[in-house]
Amino acid sequence: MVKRSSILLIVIAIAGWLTYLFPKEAITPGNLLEKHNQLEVNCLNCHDLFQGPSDEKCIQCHAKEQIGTLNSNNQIVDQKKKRLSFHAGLASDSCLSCHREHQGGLAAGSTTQFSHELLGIEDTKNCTECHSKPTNSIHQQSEQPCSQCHQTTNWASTEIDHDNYFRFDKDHRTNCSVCHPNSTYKEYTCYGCHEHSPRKIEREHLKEGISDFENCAECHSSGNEHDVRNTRKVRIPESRSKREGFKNRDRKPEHSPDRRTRKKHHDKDDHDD
Amino acid sequence: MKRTVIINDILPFILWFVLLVFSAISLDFFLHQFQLEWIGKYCGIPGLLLLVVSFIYSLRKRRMIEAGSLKFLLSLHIYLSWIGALLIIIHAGIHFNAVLPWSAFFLMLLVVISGLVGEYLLKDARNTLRIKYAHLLEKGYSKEEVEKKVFLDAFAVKTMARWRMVHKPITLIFGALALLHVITIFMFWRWF
Repeated sequence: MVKRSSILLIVIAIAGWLTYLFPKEAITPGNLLEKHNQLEVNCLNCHDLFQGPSDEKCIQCHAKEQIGTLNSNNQIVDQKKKRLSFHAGLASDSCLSCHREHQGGLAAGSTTQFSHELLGIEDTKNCTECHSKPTNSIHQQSEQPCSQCHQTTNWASTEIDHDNYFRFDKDHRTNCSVCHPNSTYKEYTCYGCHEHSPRKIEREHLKEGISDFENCAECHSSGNEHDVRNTRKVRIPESRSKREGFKNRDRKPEHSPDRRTRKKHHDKDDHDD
Repeated sequence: MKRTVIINDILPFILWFVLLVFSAISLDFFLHQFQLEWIGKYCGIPGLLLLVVSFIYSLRKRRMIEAGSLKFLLSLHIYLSWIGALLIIIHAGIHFNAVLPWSAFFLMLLVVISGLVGEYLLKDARNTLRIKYAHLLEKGYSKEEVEKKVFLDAFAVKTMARWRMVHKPITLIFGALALLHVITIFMFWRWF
């Protein structure tokens, strides 16, 4: 028993001594970022004993109000890093809320668990300080704040498949502002071009017994007038109901099977404008 | 005879290992798949605790405690060590970084292997030797002739019977390194 205890103590002593001499090799879970290399000779450069990594020790080199302006050697940082100046307005001093070290030297792995809640209110409005503006046509045309479509908690799900609302065809390839003139993508109008006028649309729909026709895309999923989402009941106007003797004023929309007739009506209407 | 030895002794030995490795890989894959790999960091705590608890068998064997049957405690020692080793493999993951925890991990595997050799392979080798010995005696060989003929087998069994000489000191060194690993974690890790 004494022999075993002695062996145990000797092993602990040797291993402990080697760990003390070579802490990087013995216990570090991964390399530090390249710019922190000079710190790895002594764990206590960043850690407090029995308390772990210390925010105060980070801030000794990286003062919040200097991040994005001056580097840890008090030199002016390059233009690209100025976007990091949002750190000055952070609500918390906890560097470890977002930053991790010992990630094998990978800068990409050193920032995790970022929460927009840490930002000041003004900084949450300046998305492009940190995020690049997407280059697709929808984003290039938009002058609206990102928050109109995006939330800080759920960025990806705001990707819009316009086909779910309205499919574009050759007659409907135009600027966003033609259909969304008030610079909001939550609203739209189909009266932005000469083809559709309120008077014409009203007349044509009432003729079909449709009185609720303000939300065009609810029924029309594309520019093809026969491509109708045939799911909602339509209200027959009272005058037509009486004239045609409908008992039930709610019925499914009827679309003439005779396309030639409808086309003829349509052509006639077009001449009216 | 060969078939019986394989089924009764070699196969369980291999199966225990395959199952250990397969379970560790599956659980680790599951954790990574659902972005729960942080759980792996904490698997080391229950893993080590299970290993410590399994040493009740060693205490009972050395009469440091009196409660519990040896057979039951041996089974407990085997199963708890197996589950503990599984949790520690998940805890270690595939991150080859620091020497200290990885030395402890490697020694733990040696402890598990030597333990399984003691449990399965030794039993098998002893049976084989006993049957061979009896068979030669039945054939009319004298005791001295039989001992000459089974010399190599007897030597192998005798060597394997010393598995404890590997199992025990390695367990001791593993314990020392694991303890140092735990101490360094308490020294440098931020829990909250």
